[in-house]
Amino acid sequence: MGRSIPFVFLKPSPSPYAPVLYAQRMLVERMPRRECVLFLEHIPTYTAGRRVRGDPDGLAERAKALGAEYYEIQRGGQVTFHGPGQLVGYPIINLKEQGISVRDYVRKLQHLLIAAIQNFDIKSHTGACNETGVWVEDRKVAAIGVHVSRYITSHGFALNCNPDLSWYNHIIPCGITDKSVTSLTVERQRSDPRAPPITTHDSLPHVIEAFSDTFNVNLVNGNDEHDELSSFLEQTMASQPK
Amino acid sequence: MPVIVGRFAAAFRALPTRSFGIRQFSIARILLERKYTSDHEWVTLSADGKIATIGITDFAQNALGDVVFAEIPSVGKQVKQSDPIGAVESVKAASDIYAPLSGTIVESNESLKGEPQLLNSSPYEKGWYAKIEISTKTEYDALLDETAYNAIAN
Repeated sequence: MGRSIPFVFLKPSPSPYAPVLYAQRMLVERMPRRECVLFLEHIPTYTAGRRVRGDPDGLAERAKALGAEYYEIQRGGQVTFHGPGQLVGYPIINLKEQGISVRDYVRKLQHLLIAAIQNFDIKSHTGACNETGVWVEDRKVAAIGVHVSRYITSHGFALNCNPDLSWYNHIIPCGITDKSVTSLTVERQRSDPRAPPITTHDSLPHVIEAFSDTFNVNLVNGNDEHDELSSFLEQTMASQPK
Repeated sequence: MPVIVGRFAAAFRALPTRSFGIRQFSIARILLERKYTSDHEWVTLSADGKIATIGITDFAQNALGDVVFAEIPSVGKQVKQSDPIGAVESVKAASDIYAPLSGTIVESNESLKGEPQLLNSSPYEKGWYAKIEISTKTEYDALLDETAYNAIAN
């Protein structure tokens, strides 16, 4: 196993969007060393990637009416949803150090998600027709949207464990009109409707293991309150400029 | 045939004879050598040293994968060397593009809006990214030459 990288699961969960966005920016700025991975859930939030500016569909207004927030951000990809029941991962890593191209990085993210999902006996695959993400048949179970700034990554992936999928009814997720969105729980309950839901906490250990294997690193738990990463995050999010 | 010496030599020899007829020793037609940054961007300078054309290298486009979207800078924008000025998106990853030189954006490649894949298929020609009007050549002179760039782009 290669080098050790700390991860934290942000608490309390779910986390609001803006402080975590700010924290990511600060984490990117303190690189090129000190890689880390943030795992979390967000409060209901719609986000739009770089291609979408000026809120062409009036999503901000509709989001507010629904009790969600809306942000236009620097990642790739189009519009998506984050919310409770969805495991979000933000790896802040140095692609140059790792010797990985942008293209390979995205491939690895897809690969690790597929491996993690397999632990639940759910078969998933990368998108057909060059559609990035992870799919169970033609239903999208995980989305990817990354920002690369001088080889440093931010944003990342979102795996639907047991979110309320009706939130997706209000958007065209990732600009794809003819495919649907799903979750690990929905997929499990296809074969057994009485099976218990698969939560973010059920998924997290598998995602951590798959991440470590795929990137050949040792992800270590930085949730200890004395840990440098946890302290940095706590201070950063508390000091976010309003 | 005049003997061409100096830093223009390589660029000059590379010019196809046919399009010039007899090779004219005409300064207006000579492009200074292409230079590079460690962010995998290239720069060529107009002969009068005033307008820099910039883009991403073949190494960069290959590392990115199929480009689906290019965010180009606004004309008139003042930029300092190393400022982020836009991005190129592939496989849901938006990678920042940086100003290799300080100056003013005088043109952005609008073709990239409809055909972002030009960055992959023709990174040094049709896929040029923007043109910057610069005030001095000092920054350009300090950029990597082809040999130095090839050493880092492995």
